Amino acid sequence: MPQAKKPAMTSGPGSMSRRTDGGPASKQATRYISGMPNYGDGQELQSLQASAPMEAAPQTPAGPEVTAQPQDQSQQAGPVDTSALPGLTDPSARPWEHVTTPAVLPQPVDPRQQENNVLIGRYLPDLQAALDIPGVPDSYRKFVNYLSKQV
Amino acid sequence: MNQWVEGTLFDNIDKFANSLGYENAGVILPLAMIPWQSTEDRNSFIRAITNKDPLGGDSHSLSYVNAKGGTK
Repeated sequence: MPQAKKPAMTSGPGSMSRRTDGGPASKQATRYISGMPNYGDGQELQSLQASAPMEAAPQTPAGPEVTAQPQDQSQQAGPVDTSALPGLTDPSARPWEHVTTPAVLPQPVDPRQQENNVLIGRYLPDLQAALDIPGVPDSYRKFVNYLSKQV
Repeated sequence: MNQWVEGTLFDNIDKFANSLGYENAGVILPLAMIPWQSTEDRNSFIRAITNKDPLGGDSHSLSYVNAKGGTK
């Protein structure tokens, strides 16, 4: 049966009838999707596509067969270049450490101290400028020196 | 400022820092910024929370109380 490239807006009666849906060419072709997890899933999916074909996008060539993506993306990673990694018999990259030296975890940051440091950093220049005031007490000088070491 | 004056912001910082401890800088600076009615008002507050006389320097006096609580 010839496919209508330009479907009629309305269909005439009897022998004058014409297709109004554009024919089979206006629908997307079914595609077999391989790599489905269960046996028969690909065929079932293809029959579902055939029963309710989607509208074809204009000027869209039929694409290659689609393969289901594995869930774990790390399985798709390419080969890792191990040439940069040290070998088991290579000399230590940290020769100053004994072999029994434990890993040092980063010290947890005290949020209160962190806030203090922010505050100190903001006001320290002004506090230091006050050291030039004649008659500044030594206790104030000590405090500003203490803050300078904190930042 | 030509001279260290009691009751100014920097004097407040000095008194609070030496009375409350240097490690409490996060509290010292906001307390020092409070517009205290007088130095006595401020000192009363320090006495109330530390139960001690305010510590810190006094440039107008040769015998001021230093940070360790001793006199100089």
